[in-house]
Amino acid sequence: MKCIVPGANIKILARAIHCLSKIGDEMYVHPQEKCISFRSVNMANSAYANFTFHENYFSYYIFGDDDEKDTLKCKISIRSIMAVFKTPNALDKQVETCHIKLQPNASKLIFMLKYKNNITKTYLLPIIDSEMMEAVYNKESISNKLTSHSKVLIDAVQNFQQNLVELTIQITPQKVILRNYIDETCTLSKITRTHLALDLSEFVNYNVETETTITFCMKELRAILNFAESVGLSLGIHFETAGRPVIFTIETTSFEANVVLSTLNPDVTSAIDKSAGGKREQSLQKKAANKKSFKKSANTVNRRTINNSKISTKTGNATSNIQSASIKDNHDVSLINTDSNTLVNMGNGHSENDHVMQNNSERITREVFNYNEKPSTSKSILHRESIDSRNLINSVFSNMPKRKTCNERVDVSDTSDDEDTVPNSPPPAKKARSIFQKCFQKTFDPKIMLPGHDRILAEDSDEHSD
Amino acid sequence: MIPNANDYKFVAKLGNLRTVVQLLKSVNFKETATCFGTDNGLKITVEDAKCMQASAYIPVDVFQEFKLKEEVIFRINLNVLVECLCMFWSDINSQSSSVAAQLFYKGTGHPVTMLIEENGIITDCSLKTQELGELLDFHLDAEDVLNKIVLQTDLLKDVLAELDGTSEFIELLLSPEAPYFRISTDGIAGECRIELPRDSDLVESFECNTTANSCYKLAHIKPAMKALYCANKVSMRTDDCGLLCFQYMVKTDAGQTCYVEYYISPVIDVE
Repeated sequence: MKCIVPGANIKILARAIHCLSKIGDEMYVHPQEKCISFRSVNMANSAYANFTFHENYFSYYIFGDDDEKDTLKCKISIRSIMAVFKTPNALDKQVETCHIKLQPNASKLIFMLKYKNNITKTYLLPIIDSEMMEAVYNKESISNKLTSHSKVLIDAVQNFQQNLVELTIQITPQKVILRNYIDETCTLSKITRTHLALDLSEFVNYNVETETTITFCMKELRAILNFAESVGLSLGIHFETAGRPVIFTIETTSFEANVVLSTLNPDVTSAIDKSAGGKREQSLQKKAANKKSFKKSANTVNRRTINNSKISTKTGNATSNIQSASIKDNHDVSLINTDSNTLVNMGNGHSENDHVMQNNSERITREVFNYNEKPSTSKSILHRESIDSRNLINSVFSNMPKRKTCNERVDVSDTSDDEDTVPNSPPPAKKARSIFQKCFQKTFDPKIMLPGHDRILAEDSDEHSD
Repeated sequence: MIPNANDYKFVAKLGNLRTVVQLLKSVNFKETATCFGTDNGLKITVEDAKCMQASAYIPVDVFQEFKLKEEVIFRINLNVLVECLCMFWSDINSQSSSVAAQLFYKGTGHPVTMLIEENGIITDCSLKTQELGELLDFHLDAEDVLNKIVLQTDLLKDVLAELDGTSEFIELLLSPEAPYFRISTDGIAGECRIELPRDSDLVESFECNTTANSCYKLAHIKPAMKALYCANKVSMRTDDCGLLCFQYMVKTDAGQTCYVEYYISPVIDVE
């Protein structure tokens, strides 16, 4: 495969690479008959980006023989390609052409930059693996679609805090409400809540059939928004419901960009909430917090599953074609780790009997008790549940009174139990007290015990006066 | 306050310090420097690990005053000298600089006294001189020179600024045939080959007779790049052993020419 990118188009490629670098650590290069794709997936398999450049993006594009087809694909490190496109802004002005070469079964991917001042830079990027990765999703089948100028969305997103991890979008037939996602573990009094409504007139295309609320990561959204802004194109958002992936698209005649993000699954979260697993999730987060991780609980859960799916991907490795399982089909819905998987399945499968549920929740209850929760947090969870249950009319659980009772039982016992078991945090260690222990005892009388106690060796220093 | 000039072997006064400070900074990759005061001017030499040497030449005409009873050699801590001068960097760097410096040296065993004057305020610095050490004599005889290239620094600036820092070595290929002039690095991010043109406007002369391929430590090349930012022209020469010499031509604000020279010995065995 050999292709040449004309100088004017290099900036787009450079920006695309920068966007991919925000998503994953590795980049998959997959040349095809009439186009070339650059893809990346994040460690958690919850975000995937695909940039496909068509033949007309290039000034020259040759794919090669058909029999080479299977060998022409590779995986390289993002770091190595970033060395080529270090400064996307400057590249535009200085570079005349960029050649990309990939030989069948090669060990190096070749990027050649020809500068206007006749300097030629050739980068031989080591190929880590010869494999292909493609996520399976079908954006055509998705009925809900919004299209907006990137500027509008960038301005909207700028209103949120820079360190925001997840964004919730509530879509109604008239408007879109963006708000920062607050997970139940945060103390509400300490959080800034930002709501921003975008009227449908702000959008180029507004096609919403079902109202829905979705929550996804901000980092990848920022990456694709920055790309959209740099190329000055509008961004399409395809979505179904919470728990199903959201797809951001940028399309022109010469290239196409798709970013698929998994969304937070309220079924899963609520299922856990309902069965007091919400606490479990919290404790998960606590563990994460102990490790000084700033990921939100939802992320923790996500990550875990994804690890599971990663394993399945690994096994799939043998058959050269890997598909990231988490994004694939329904897998996204079951974004929960093995333990809670039983929970989810239980929730989804109506036939499960109460006995199992009882057992399960008891097990979880026990687990919960291993963690020292403060009563106040459990209250806030209850509060949260009431909010959540509104959103989850479809959820199987809300139809199950039995579930509720057992849930209540859990919460009640939780609260009472907590009061007994929660030990007070130890008082801060005071060195002085341990060193001069005797002096702090009530029986201590300096007049008797310390000769010369009234002799002042150093006068109090003068008070500072202005 | 101002010492009696007659007691000193060497007295020099500098009016415009900007270029001089830049020169000193660009050779200041090691703290100890040997200074030579001759009738031609002042030469400051810094050496590292016996395999690279840098010298800054400040010709007599750059000095407002240059009195020399006999040739002097002294060794000082260049870090201290640069730090003293850099206290006034914001003023030195401005267009209407009013900073002047005066150097006094009595002879072996005496410190070098430097007076820095800024708007009537005089700062008196005394730099201890050190025992003279041995300096290597790097030189390229004209008959040994294999290749010689003279470039405008603009061409090299971008190229060298973007060199892959993770690479330990840098390979230099000079050849009368294509690819003429190639710089290669091999780092974590992969291999990178930069080919420079022979016939660009920015290349003033390109004299290559034989193909020469030599390898240098990137850590040695990096300090030699410092002078690129204040220089106008650079000449690169290599000899048959692979010894590389960069010679930078630096113009002062008043139009005089100073030089900075770097000698870098090659890495002989690269595994």
